[in-house]
Amino acid sequence: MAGSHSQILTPLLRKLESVIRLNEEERRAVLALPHVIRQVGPHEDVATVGERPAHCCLVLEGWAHRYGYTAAGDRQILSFYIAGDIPDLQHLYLPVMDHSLASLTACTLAFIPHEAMRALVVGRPGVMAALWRDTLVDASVYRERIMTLGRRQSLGRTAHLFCEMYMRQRAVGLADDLSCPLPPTQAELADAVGVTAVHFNRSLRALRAECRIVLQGGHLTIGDWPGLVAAAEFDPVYLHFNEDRHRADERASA
Amino acid sequence: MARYFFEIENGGLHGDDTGAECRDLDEIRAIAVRTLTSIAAEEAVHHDRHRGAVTVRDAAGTSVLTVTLTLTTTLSNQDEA
Repeated sequence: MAGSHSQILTPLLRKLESVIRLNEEERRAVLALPHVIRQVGPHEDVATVGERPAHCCLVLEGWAHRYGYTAAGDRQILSFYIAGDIPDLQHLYLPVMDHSLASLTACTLAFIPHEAMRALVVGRPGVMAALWRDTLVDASVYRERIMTLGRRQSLGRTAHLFCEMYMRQRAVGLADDLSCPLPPTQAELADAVGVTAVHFNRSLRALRAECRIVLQGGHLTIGDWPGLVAAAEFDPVYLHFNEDRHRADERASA
Repeated sequence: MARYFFEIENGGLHGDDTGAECRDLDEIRAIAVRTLTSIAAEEAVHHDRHRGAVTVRDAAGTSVLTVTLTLTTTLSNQDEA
């Protein structure tokens, strides 16, 4: 019975409920998804370009990332994923991997068979909507990234990444007050914002001085949040957190 | 692979205590040039004259190479300026 299931998949529930509210039956069904747990070390490929995954990969602990390489050997980190994220959810409907997915830190991953994910949404429009919205928000994050990488300077890109990773972790209970894990190395962060590690380091020094951020031992602390938001031109609307709840709250207070 | 340190001179001098792992001289030069041009692209747009330089040192502090960049804007019609 679902009730006897452990709470291993709770991070997924937290993530889905950061964008949409589920009912009790839907929650139980999510927690009861069959899965295989795998521990992977840092920088292990989970799925690479051209593969046809048969499972969805749910991050339970640690950070994962999507990346690609140019012919000249330059890496672009496309996105970071944290506990509760299903980075390859789209491959439920797009059979062939078009990028590579790997752990960044050591990770605990849960692999959920595609068949079980498809069965989960049958007769559960709330869960269907939650998964839909999860992939749509992923696309929204990419639009914001195009904006950032195409038009913002290194300082703004770096500030933006820090704002986003703090907000995303806060939404699923992984951040403290203006402080959160940020395990990528400076070289990895540089490859995510698309500048050399040396230029990234310069931007980081500027942010340290201007916004009192401290990045140390894989942990980020933000001294001046409004300053960081201004440097990033950060507007969290593209993350679409809790919009249904806000609407409900507005109705309640009206 | 060895670690090299990239000092940026751009108005003031900014030392580098982090460094970057580089395979060979080609990679050192590529990082220095890309760093310098991308900083200039961001910081030079509002100035008629921009000069920047990157000096790369090995772990012992010995200079390996220096890349310099000067951008100069000259107004064509000086009377109107």
